[in-house]
Amino acid sequence: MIDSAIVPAPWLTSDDLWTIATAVLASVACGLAGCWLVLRRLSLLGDAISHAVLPGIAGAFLLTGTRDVLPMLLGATVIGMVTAFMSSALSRVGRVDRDAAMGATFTSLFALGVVMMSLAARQVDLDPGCVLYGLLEFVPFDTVDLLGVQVPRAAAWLGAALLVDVILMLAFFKELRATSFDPAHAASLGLRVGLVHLGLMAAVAANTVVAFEAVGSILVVAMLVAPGATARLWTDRLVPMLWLATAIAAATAIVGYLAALRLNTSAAGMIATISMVGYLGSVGAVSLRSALSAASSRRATIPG
Amino acid sequence: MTQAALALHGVSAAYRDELVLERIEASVPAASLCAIVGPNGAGKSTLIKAVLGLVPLAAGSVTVLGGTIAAMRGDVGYVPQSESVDWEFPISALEVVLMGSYGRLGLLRRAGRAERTQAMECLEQVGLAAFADRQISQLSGGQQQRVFLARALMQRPRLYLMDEPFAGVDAVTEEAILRVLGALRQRNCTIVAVHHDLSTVRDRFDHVLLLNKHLIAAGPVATTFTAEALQRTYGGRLAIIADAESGRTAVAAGY
Repeated sequence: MIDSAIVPAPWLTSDDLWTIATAVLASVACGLAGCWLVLRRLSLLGDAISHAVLPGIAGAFLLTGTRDVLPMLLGATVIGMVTAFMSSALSRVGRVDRDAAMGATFTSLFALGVVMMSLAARQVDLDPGCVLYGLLEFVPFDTVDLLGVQVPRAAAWLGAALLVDVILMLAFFKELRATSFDPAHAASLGLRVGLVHLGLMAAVAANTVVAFEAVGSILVVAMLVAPGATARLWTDRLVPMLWLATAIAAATAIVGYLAALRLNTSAAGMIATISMVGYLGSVGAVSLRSALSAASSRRATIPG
Repeated sequence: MTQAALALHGVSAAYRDELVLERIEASVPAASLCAIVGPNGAGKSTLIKAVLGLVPLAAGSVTVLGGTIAAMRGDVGYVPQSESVDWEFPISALEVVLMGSYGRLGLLRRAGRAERTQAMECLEQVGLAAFADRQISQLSGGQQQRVFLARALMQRPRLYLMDEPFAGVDAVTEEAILRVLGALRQRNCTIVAVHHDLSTVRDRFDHVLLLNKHLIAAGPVATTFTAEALQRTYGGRLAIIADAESGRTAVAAGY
């Protein structure tokens, strides 16, 4: 357990605060990477990758016999890129829809992952349920020493992932934007469209792996897609969308955790539920707003 | 004779295993306005994409402004069909135009004040200076087409490859595009455009490539754009009404 002297709210322990911090980091890291999936209309690919990384994680377990993050990260990132590559190859060669190809790819990889996971569970202390749903509540029990401070291992990794995400996004912002908006034109300028796509997929896979321990591989999907999709409803600008998605991701994680604490239920499940409520609420609010403005402009143009 | 702006040497290209361009041998002289004309599925867009290296060549080679496309990229501007992108993308007209500078900016450099000023000038040239901050979904189809043209102007290329710049545009846009093309001609730029409207080929272009998977004919409009050549390009899908008095050819293509 972590001991800390400063706790702002008496009903929250320092463990709760670390858990909230971890959830916020997971949510923001996934949400920022997910914005680009939303913009590229590739939300399903986030789903595909977050499921398909499972055999990568299990493979790393089987090979190394430990729960070290680094081999898992490597295994899952490779599988994540395999997913992106396999689904686009399948839709080209198999002549099926991209969605169908993605579905075929990730369900088969996910199934393989479940089989490998139960094999791995015989060798290492590993609970397949934990991989699927995550165990946010247990985050504070596994800590690392970071400059003399005991920090949850998950928070340290997620913080590093978020830092890398932000650095990459700042460095390649114009490439990301141009290849997302008009890949053919970007390629005509000499931008490396394929490389940017592969890099984004690798980043999504890496974020997914780092976050899965906290929130589980299934609920990562909500964190990937919901903040970007919700932010997009409220703004027509890219940079404000990224900021808004960050704020929504953080708020969702905080509200979701507190609600779970109050109702004594799964934190990851609650965070995903809150993000869905936020999205649906935004859809309703934005439709209502446009309906009202349409009505008022009609009133303005009708004389009398 | 000046050097050809674009030379195709036995170019073949496939789309999903089906050969859509077969052994195209043609050249476009520098500083010309060249139309690529042919029926639907003739491989017109594929030809432009093949020149840009966006579609791999199954055979042959392409020379652009005397070099390979990889070497000359910065001098070749691409104006794709406006339906090819998601216009709901959260971006303003000015930001789209700025993308024209991304090739020369290189890695890790951002568009700065100089680029923004130049992007405004490009928007002004197409008559959209007042729409710089508009989100692109709020623009009409014709305005979107002009934003794409402005993005190509931003690149300051010597060769423009356009995929149906006049498709479905309003009169104001048509006029604006024609004005820009005229100005580019003055600066000795070469323009190669896929064009659908056979009735305006004579007025707007001086060179023509007639295409239907194979090259049917290529050359100056005056001598190449004949009723007989069009008949061969479109096969039986074309009705030609020759007007003896004006010497012009009014044509209606059936698709």
